[in-house]
Amino acid sequence: MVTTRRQIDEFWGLKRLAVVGVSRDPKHFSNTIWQELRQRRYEAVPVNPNATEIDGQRCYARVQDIQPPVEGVVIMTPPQATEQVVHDCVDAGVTNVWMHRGAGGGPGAVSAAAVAYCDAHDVNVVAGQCPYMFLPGTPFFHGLHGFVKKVTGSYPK
Amino acid sequence: MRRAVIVYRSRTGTTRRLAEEIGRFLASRDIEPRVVSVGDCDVHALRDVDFLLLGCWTSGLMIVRQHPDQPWVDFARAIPAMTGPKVGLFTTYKLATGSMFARMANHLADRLPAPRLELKSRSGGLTVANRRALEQFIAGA
Repeated sequence: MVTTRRQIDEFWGLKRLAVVGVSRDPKHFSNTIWQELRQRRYEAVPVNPNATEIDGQRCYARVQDIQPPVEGVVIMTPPQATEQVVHDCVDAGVTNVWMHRGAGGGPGAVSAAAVAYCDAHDVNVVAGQCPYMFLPGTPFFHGLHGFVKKVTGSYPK
Repeated sequence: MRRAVIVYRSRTGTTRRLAEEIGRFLASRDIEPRVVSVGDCDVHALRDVDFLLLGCWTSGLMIVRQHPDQPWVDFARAIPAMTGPKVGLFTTYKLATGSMFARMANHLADRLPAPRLELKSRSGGLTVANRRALEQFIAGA
């Protein structure tokens, strides 16, 4: 499935988001993504089965435990865990999912089976993009990442 | 007791550490601090404070075009006009702060008193000079 710019804009138009796989380490990339969304005034809810609280915020074990429910989910887990997460999203009625992949290469959170599951259940999935690249006013190096993707033809249109 | 609100915009956590350091310093001077991110700050709750300290990491291209980033600018534009608090600015940076403070002040110019403090830190810690500047900032208010 090819991710389009429209999908991405619609995702950032949501207000209440879960971030699955948020580390308790404040320097970990998953934690900085979660903090970034909080500072951009999203209602960003952390999900990590090994924590009950992160930075003073209640942390949930699974997406379907979150009350009130979220509108979208950013997945920061290893790909092996992503398949279970998208099952949880469908159980929770979540129809917008973002599987992270950074500039460093590798699969990120993307799992082909999870993407196929999303497609089969009418879940709008952004697979393999770095959220930072598409946030308004993103820092230079994330803009540079976007520029490189444009040059190489892998930037969403 | 005098009250201070310290609002930070942090990308990697360094500016947040500086905000928390400032908060601890003010608490040690019998000022009640509240440290909050731009995402969690209610701008209408800023009216009744004695000190308002606003911080952002330094964005820019190495040593040129230093500026506060978009979430800080959005927050600054949402602050209502007020005359009460004594205003200070702070930033964290890698190489140079350049035009950072001037640009921050420009975004606040039509709604807040002119900033009386500009505090910068590379590490997120308070230097001796920073502490001295904070002492002067809170003195006589």
